[in-house]
Amino acid sequence: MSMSIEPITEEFIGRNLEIAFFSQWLKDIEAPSIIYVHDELEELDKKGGIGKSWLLRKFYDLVKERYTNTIPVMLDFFNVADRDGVVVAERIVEALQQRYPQWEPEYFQRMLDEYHEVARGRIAETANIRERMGEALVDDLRLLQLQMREDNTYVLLFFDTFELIERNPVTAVLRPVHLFPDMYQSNRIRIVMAGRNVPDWSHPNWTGREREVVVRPLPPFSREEALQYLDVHSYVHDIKNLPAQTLQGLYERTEGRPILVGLVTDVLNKRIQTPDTLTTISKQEFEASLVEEINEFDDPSRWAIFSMAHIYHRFNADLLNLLMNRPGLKGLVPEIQYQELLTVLPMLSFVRRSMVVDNFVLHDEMRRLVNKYCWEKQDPDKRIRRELSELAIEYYSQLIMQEQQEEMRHSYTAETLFHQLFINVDNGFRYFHQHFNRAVASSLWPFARALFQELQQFEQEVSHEQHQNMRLSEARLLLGEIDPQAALRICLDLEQDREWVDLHRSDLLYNRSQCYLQMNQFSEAESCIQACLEIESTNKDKTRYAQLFTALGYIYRRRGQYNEALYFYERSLRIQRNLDDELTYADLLNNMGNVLRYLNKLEEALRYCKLALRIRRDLYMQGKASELFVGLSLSTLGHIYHALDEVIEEESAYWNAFNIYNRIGDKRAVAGTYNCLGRVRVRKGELESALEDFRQAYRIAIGGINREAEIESLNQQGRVFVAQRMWQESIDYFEQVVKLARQVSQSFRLAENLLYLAASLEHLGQPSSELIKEAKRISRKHGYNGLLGKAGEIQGDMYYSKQEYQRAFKFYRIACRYIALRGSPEFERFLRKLYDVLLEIPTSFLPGAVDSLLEYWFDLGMDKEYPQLLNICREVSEHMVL
Amino acid sequence: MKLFVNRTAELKLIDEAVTTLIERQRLLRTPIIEFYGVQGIGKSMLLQNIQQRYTSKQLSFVWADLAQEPDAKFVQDTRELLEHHQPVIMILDSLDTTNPALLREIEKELSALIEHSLLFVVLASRSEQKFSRARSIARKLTLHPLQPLERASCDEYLNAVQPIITAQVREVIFEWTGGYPLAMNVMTDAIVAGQLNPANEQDQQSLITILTEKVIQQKLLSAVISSERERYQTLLSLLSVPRRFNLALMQDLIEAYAPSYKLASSIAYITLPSTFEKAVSVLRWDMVRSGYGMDAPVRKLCLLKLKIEQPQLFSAVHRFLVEKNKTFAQEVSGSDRIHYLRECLYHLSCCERGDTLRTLVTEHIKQMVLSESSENFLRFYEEFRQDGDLQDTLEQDGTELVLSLLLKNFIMMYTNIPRQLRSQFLQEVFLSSENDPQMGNFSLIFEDEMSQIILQESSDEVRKLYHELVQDEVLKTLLGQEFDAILARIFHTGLEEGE
Repeated sequence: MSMSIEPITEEFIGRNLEIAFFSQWLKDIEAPSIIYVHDELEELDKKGGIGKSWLLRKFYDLVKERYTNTIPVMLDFFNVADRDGVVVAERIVEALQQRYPQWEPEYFQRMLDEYHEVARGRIAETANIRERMGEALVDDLRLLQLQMREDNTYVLLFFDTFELIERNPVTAVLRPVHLFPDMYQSNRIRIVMAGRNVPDWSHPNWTGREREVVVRPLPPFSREEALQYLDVHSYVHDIKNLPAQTLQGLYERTEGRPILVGLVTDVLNKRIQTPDTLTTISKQEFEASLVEEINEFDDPSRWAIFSMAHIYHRFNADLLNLLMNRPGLKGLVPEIQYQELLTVLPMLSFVRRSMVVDNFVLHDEMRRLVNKYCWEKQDPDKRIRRELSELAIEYYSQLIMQEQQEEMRHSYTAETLFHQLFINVDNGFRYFHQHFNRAVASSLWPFARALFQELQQFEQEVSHEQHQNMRLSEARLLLGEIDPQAALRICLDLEQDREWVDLHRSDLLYNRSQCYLQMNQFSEAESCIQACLEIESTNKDKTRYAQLFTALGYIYRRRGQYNEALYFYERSLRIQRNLDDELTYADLLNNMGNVLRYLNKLEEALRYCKLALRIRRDLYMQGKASELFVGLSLSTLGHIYHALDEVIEEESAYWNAFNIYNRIGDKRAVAGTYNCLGRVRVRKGELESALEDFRQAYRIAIGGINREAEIESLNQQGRVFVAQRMWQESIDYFEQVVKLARQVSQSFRLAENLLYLAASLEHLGQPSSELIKEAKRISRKHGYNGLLGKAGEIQGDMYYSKQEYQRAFKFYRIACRYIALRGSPEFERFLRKLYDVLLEIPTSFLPGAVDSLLEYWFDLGMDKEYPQLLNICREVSEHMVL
Repeated sequence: MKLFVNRTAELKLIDEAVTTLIERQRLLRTPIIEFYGVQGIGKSMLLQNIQQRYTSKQLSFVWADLAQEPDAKFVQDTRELLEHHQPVIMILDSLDTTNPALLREIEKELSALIEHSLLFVVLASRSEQKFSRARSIARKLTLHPLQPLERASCDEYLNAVQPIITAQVREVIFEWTGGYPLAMNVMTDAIVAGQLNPANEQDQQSLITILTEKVIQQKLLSAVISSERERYQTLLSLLSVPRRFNLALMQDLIEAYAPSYKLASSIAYITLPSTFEKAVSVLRWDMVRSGYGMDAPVRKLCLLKLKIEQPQLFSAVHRFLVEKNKTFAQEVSGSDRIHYLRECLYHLSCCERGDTLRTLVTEHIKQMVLSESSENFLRFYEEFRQDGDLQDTLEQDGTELVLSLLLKNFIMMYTNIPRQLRSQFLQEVFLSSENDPQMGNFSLIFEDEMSQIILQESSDEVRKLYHELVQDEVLKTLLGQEFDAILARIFHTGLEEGE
C-alpha cells in the first residue's frame, strides 16, 4: 500500500478584507502601532483553528514580498522559547543586523553575555539584569533610529498564539515595568499579534490602551471562502459540481472553521468519506467523527500524527528517526516512506511549521482534538503515550546536553517537564521543583513561567498537597513578575487550608512577607516574618532564617528605625557567616554600612562598606559576581562620605560608581548616580549645576527605567527651589512627585512629598493641613517614624510662624520624639533647631514651652534613653527663665 | 461450481460507464472503477462477468491478472487498441499483489492512458488502492467495496448450485459464513462431498477444519510467507473475539493469549493494524464501533473455529475482555465509556449462560445506574437498542431482561436528575421507547415505577408531572388505549391527597 499523505498546496484562500486592511495599515504610519487579531467566535470550544496563524503567515509573506522597507519578525508563543523577552529581543536584534550589518548593538550584546552567565549559573543573579538589557536595547536602537527614519524602515513584529501568555505577558518583555508588547521606545517598531480571545482591557497590561490597538475579530470562512478552499485543495472530488445541498451541508457542519474545512479536505482526498456521507453526520458529532477519521489514515502518517499530538512542542527528523528506531518499530517503515513523510507531514492542513528551525507540530487545536478523539480511543490507559514520553525525554536529554543557547535549554527543560509529568506525576512534580527553584533563584522568570505552564496542564491529576504547593509556586512566580497583589491573593487563599498550612506555614508566611514587602506594607510584612522566624529557629538549614533577619533589617531601615535595623542585620550576618554565600555576606555588610551611616556612626559605616567593597571586588575578579555590585558599594561609600562631609571623596566614589554603571550599561543606576552627583553640587552651593544633574537623572530615569530615581530627581529639584525660596516652582515639582508616587503606589515617597508640598504651600499662605493629615495617616499606617517626625516639625514651624507658640511646641515635641528614634545626626540637627527656636520665642512663652517639652518627655519615658532634650531644656531654663 | 448472483449495484455502475463509452457522446463519469474486498469475496468473478457481459458489444478488452503477470505489458496492448479509436475496457485484477515499483509504473502509465476518453478501467484489489501520488488517477477513481452476499442471494445461489441442500442446512451455511462467497463454496462443497451434517458436532469439527484450511490458510493467508502464517492465523483467531478493539486491547490480548507474538513495546503496536491489513486485508477502523474490527464474515469464521475447536479458550478470552472493557470504561468518559460498557455486556453474553448470565447482566446494569450520568445511561440505552448483534447474542430472553432493567432504572434515575431536566428526560425515554417492538411490558413497568416515583413527590410536583404526562403524545402512543386509565390509576392517590 502506498503512503498517502497529501501535500496541501500553499494557495492562500480568502481573507480579502483582512489583507486590504493590513495593506492600508502598513501605509498609514499614523495608525495605532498594534493590530490585535482574535477569534470572532465566542464559544470556548470553537476557538482555535480559525486561521489566525495562516493569516499572520500571509501578512508576513506579503511584507517580505512587497514591503521591502519593513523587516518582518515572526514569533509564536506556542514555542516555549519565544515566550521569553530575551528571545524576543534577540530576534529583533538579529533581524535588524541582517538589514544593517554595520549596526553593532554593543550594549545589548554585553548585557546578553552577562545574562547568559547568570542563566548558566556561573555568576549570581544581578539585580534587574533583564531590565538593564531592555534599556541597553533602547540605547542601541536609538543609535539606529536616525538611519531607520532616513530609510523609512520599520520592524514589524508578529506575535502568534498570544493566548498562551495573555495572563502574564510580562514574560515576553524585558522590563517588567513595561507593557507587552515592548517597542523599546522606538516608533519604528510595529506589531501584529493574534490570540484566541479579545484583549482583556481590565488586565493591567491593557488598561487604558484601547487607542493603541486596532482590534480585528477574525470570523470563520464565509461560505464562498470555505468552498473555494475545498475546491482548490480537493483533488478527488469535483467540488464545484457537487449539489448545492451537499455544499451547504458541508459548510454548515464545518461552520466555516478553517481547521475543520482543512480536515474535510484531507478526509475527502483520502477517500475516507464522500461529501454525501459527511453531510449525513449530525452537526453535534461532526467534529468528533471528522477527527476520528485520522484513525483511518494510512501508516506511517497516522502514527506520525498521533506522535505529534503527544510530543506536541516540536517534531522533526531527529525525533522521527528516534521513534522509528524504537524496539518493535525498527525496519517497519521503509526508508523511502520515511523521506516522504518528512516532506509531506509539514504540509498537512493542520500541521504548523516553524519559520525558524526545521520543526513541525500539530496545530494546537488539532492536538487537542487528536488527543480527545483518537488517543483516548486507542490508548485509554495512556501506556503508549507514556512510552512516547520516554522517547521524548531521551530526545530532549540529548538536546539539552548539546545546546549552547540558554533559552533553548530552558525551553527543552520545560518541554521535558510535560513528559516527566505525563509518565509519573510525582516524579514530574519533583522535576518541576528542581528546575523551578533554580529558575527562581536566578530570577529567570520566563523560564519559571514556562515550567509552571506545563505543570498547569496536569492540575487535575496532581494530589491535593501537590496542588497547593503548585499554587504557592505560582505566588512565588507572581512575586518575581512584580504582581504582589495577585501573589498575596493566592497566599491568603492557601491560608484557608488549615491542614496544608500546618505543614507549610514557614513557606507561606515567607511568601506573604515578600508580597507585603513589595507593596511597602511593612507592618504586615513584619508580623509574617516574626511568625516565620519562630518556625525557622529550629530548622537545621539556616538560609531562610538569615533571610528573615535581613528582611527585618530592611523593614526597620525603611521605617527609619536604624538601631533596630542594625540589630537585625547583625543577627543575619552571624548566621550568614556559616552559610558559605560570600555575595549575600557582602550584601549584608553593605546594608549595615548604610544603616550605620544613618546612625551617624560614620567611621564604622565606612569600614563595613569598605569590607563589602573588597569582597565584591574579589568576587567580580573571580567572575562570580557582576561588576554592578562593586558599583553599588561605591555608591554606598559616596553616601557615607556625604554624611562625613568629605565632598572630594564623596564625589570621587560617585564618579567611580558612575563609570562602572556606564560601562555595564546600567541606566537605572546611572540615573540614581546623577541624583547623588547633584546632591554633591548642592552641598558645594552649585545649585544650577545641581539642577542640571537632577534633570539628567530625570531624563534617564523616565519611561519606567528607574521610578525611584525619577521621583528623587523631581524631589531634589523641588528642594533646590526651596533653597532658593522659589516656593511656587518647588510646589510644581512636589506636586509632580505626589502624582507619580500615587501612580506607582510608593507610599513612603508619597507621604514624604506631601509634607514637602505642604511646607511650600504654607510659605505661600495656601491651605496645607489636609496634605499633612494624609501624610501622617500614611506614615502611621506603615510606621514611617522619620516622616512623622518631619510632619511634627513642619506643623510646629507653621504655628511658630503664626506666633502660636504653645501649639507649635506641642508639635515640636512630637517631632522630637520621632526624630530621636531615628538617632544621629538627625536628632542632633533637630535639637539644634529646637534650641534656636527656644531662644527666639518671647520670654513669656518660654516656661510654658519648656514645661510642655519636659512633661511630654517624662510621660513617654524618653528621658533615660534620650537625655539630650532634658539638657537643652535645663540649659535654657537656667539661663533664660529667671 | 460457479454461479454469478447478486452484484446488481456493481453491474449497474459498470453498465452506466459502458453505455457512455459506446455512445461516445459524453465523458465517462467514472472512468476508473476499483472493486475491493477480501480474498474470495467475488472480485475476479465480477470481472469475468463484466467481460462476458460486454463481449458481444464491439468493445475491446485488455485483461491482466497482475498476480499472474507481474508486469505492465497490458499498457502497450491498451495503447495500440486505443490507436484504432475504439472503446477499450481495461481490466486489471489483483492490483494488491504488485510490488511498489510496478505500482508506480502502473500509476505513471495509467495517468497518461486515462486521458483518453475511450478508455474505461476496471480494477480489483483486496485492499483499497487510492493512487494518492497520482492525482490525475485519484481524481477519476471510484472505489467500490464488495460486500458478502445477502441472505436472499445466498439462498438463490445455493438453490442453483446445490439444490439438494435442505433449507435447514442452508440456514447453517449462512449463519457460519455470513454470505462470504468463498466460505460458502467451501462449506457447501464439503457438506456435499463429505456428506457432512453441520448439526452434528463431529461433522462440525470436520467442516471447520476444511474451512480453515481452504479459506483461511489457502486464500486469506496466501500472501503471507509461510514462516509467518502461524502467527497471522493465531492473531486472526484472537482478534476475532472482540467486536472492536483499540491498540491497548490488542496488546493486552496478544500478551495474555499469544505471548510468543508480543511486540517489543507498546508503541510498536501502532504499526500492527496496518501490517495486518497489508497481509490479510481484513482489519480496519470501524467508525460506528469506534475501534478496529475484522471484516464480519472472516470474524464470524474465526470465531466459530475458536468456539468449536477451543471452547475453553473462547470463554476465557471473552471473560478477559469483560474485565478489560470494565477497566477501560473507568479510564474514559462520554461515548467511549458507553462503548466499553456495551462491549462488556457483549462479552458477558458470549461466555455466560442461563441464570449466571441473568445475574451478571442485572449486576452490570445496576452498577451502571449507580455510576453513570443520566445522559450516559440514555446513550447506552439507545445504542443497545440499535445493536442487533448484541441482541442476537443475548437472545430474546437476555435482550428483554436488559431492556426491562434499563427501563426500570430509567424511572428510578428520574428521581435523581435535576428537576428542570426531568421533562426532557421523560421525553427522551418515551421517544426512544416509541418504536421498540420489544417494549411489550412497557405499560406494566411504567405504571409500577411511576406509582413509586410519585409517592416520593410533593402534591404540587405530582400535579405538575401529571400535566406534563397527560400532554405527552409519545406516551399516549406507547400506552395506547390504556393511556387514560393508567394515568388515572397512577395519579389518583397523589392528586386526591393534594386537593
